Amino acid sequence: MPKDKYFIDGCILLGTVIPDKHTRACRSFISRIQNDIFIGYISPFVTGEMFNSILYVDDKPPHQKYELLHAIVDIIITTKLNNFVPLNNDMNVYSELRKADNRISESDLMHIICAKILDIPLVTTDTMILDSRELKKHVETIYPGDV
Amino acid sequence: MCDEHKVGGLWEDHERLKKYEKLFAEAFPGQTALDILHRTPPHAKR
Repeated sequence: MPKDKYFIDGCILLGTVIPDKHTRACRSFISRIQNDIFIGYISPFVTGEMFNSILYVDDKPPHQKYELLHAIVDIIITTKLNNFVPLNNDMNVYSELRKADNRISESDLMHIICAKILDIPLVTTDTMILDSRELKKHVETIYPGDV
Repeated sequence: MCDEHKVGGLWEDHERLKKYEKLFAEAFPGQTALDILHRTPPHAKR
């Protein structure tokens, strides 16, 4: 039986180690990826967004950034994720999706585009994405607790 | 690789999970994953 495939927003990965109301759902979802129940995809845009969020913090010493970046690498490797790299002309869906919802940040739009190219749902805790009716016409978006 | 920098098997290693939780809590007190990701990064010069 084919396994369900999901594209994973960085907030799901970071959400596993930053306790809030989403952490339980994020961990449960990620554990099913790690246990080969589902297939999970990220992209260089997801890793880039997570890495930038650490690299460009002004008030943290280098050793602290190193520890935080190591934690992110550990999460990615532990979870056994597939890294999706768009090919030539894949990104031609950009304009269509940008027009669908111009409130979405560029980095989040890249995750939505990758999910669209792969034709799989995007899993996120971001309510701006989850509540966007226009985006749902193009890409299925799911909260991790609802997978 | 030293013991302090293990990679893999994180979800079964509660001690390491706690260590990472503490690391992020100290670095970003009171912030959620979305808060951290949605800070506007500096743009590279063109």
